[in-house]
Amino acid sequence: MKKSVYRIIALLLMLMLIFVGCGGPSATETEGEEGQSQEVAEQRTFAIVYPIVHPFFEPVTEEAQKYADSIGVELLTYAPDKPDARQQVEILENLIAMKVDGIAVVPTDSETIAPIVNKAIDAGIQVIAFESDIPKSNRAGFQGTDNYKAGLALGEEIAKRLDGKGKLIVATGLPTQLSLNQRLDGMKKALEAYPEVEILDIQSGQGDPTITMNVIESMIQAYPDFDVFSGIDATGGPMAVAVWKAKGWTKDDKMIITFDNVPENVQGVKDGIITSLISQKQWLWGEQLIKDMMTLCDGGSVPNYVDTGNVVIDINNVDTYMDE
Amino acid sequence: MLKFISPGKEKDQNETISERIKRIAFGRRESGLFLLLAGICMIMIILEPDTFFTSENMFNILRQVSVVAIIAIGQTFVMVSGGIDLSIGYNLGLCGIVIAKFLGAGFHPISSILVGIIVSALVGFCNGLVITKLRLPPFIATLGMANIARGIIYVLTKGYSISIGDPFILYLGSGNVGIIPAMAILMMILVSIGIYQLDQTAFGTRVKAIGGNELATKLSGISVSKNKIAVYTMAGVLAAIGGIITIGRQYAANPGAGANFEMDSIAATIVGGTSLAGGQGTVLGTLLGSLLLTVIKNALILLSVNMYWQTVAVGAIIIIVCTIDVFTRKNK
Repeated sequence: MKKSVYRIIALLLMLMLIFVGCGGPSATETEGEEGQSQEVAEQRTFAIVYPIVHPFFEPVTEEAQKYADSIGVELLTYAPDKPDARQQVEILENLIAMKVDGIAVVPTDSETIAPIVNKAIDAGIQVIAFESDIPKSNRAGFQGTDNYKAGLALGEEIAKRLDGKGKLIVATGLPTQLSLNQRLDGMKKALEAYPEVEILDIQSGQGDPTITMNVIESMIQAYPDFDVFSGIDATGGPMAVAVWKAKGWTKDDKMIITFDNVPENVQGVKDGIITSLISQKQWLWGEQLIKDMMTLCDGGSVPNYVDTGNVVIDINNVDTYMDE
Repeated sequence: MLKFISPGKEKDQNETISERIKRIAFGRRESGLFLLLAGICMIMIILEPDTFFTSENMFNILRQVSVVAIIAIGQTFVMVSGGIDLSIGYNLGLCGIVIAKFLGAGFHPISSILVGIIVSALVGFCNGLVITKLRLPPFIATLGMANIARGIIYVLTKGYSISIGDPFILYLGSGNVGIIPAMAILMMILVSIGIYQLDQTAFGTRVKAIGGNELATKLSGISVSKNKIAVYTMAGVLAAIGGIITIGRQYAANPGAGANFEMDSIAATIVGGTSLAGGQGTVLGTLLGSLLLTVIKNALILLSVNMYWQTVAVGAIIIIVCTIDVFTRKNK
């Protein structure tokens, strides 16, 4: 009797947790008025597929949702819970089965995603890429930052802040991520023009906060005479801020010049810890993605490639950079 | 007067000095690990005399090893009992997020910390319950729980980090007691308790017995279920402590903070000599395993080893250490 009670309690707990767990954003449907959803169900349904759940993409979702609501389109947003191409392929397969009208996707791995993107296009779905391109697919268009140019901008910013002379340590994210490698290539290219700016070391934090923090601490130990730390992915900046805080440093002690306007980085600029940020203009993407998918569904065409550019953020424009 | 001599420690009156040194140095797994660690440190002192053996780098290593070592204590108990806990990393992350949410809602830091610990303990308790009452394999049960914890983290945060400003939590993660990082002192206290609990208490003996032969332990009248639930709950509490330190160290509760900790804790535990089959293992070995892996990662960066090769090196070292252990055990 006691055993049965235990088993029933355990089963109930499991079911409860499974229901809670199923609410995760690995397959998150964005909110909408119930009545409106039913109304637009026979109209158009678009999906945005991200490579991972990350605050970087939240402005994209917000802007896209706002515009989709205004024109009565149903919008679904999905993201794997880790940067896993297999999971992203499964999401795209499900979207093909759901017969959505359009998909905007940031590929986790361009090569792996290309065949399933082509399969979606063959099934009559309009597909566009953003943030990272899928060159081997038949996607209708791409919008995003030219990461190589963003890397060039980072290199120029570092050289400018160092007055053309100084030492640099760098932390990047996943070594397989094309956009990060393009940024690194751009940064190195820009710094070739400044022979007195020396890259002391480049290490990978694998996109993991704890590993990134350990890597930054160890590099600081190995090269105590560095002048600038630079983060190539969105994890480097926030972890560098934590290290600087623990050491009691500000931007006057050692500089952080890093990528992406995630909230911790923006706050770091305001707090006088981060010298400057290079940011993509992802807040411009959301509305344009919906507009592009609408145009394609109406039989129109969209530009093959749109570079939305990047912006340098420092203490002077940290509150106004989105308006520039 | 009776004198207790542990198995394997009996002295042979005729042994030579070299045999004696060999017995002391390699007789226990921990001694071998300690020698390996010392050897690597010696090499690093020669290769990087200005950067490796400095107080700052030693404290870096202590900071970097603390969280892994703390959660690996829980993993050691779980693995000695014959199980495995794959939810330990995301449970750590979940505790940090829960604390940050409660702090953000205006709760007192101590209440927030207690809620975080209770949530993580509950996750561990559910692991134990599902494993013992529903008889799911630990691998499946804890893998499922890891996904649930990860899902809840994302539901609560939408992927955003939450800033931590509470001075007590920041002190635990980033402060010092004198010159020693507070988290390292906490880690040493927990390791000491873990060593005592596994080696010197009836609970520890029961855990080893369950891992060694579950059926025989059950037939001898010991409640396997209760002890297993206690072990998984304990692992949950230790994950919570790791979570508190992590948010204090990173000045934020990061949704991705727990990722990879389960594999790091398993690697540290196995390198430390705990058997995957259960029944064998020590917390001291786990501490040395954690230290060995952390020192190697630190050394590879100080030596400017290319980032692509570092992963290869760490993987190779895990295999080498475990292979040496297998051969040593065979020879015994």
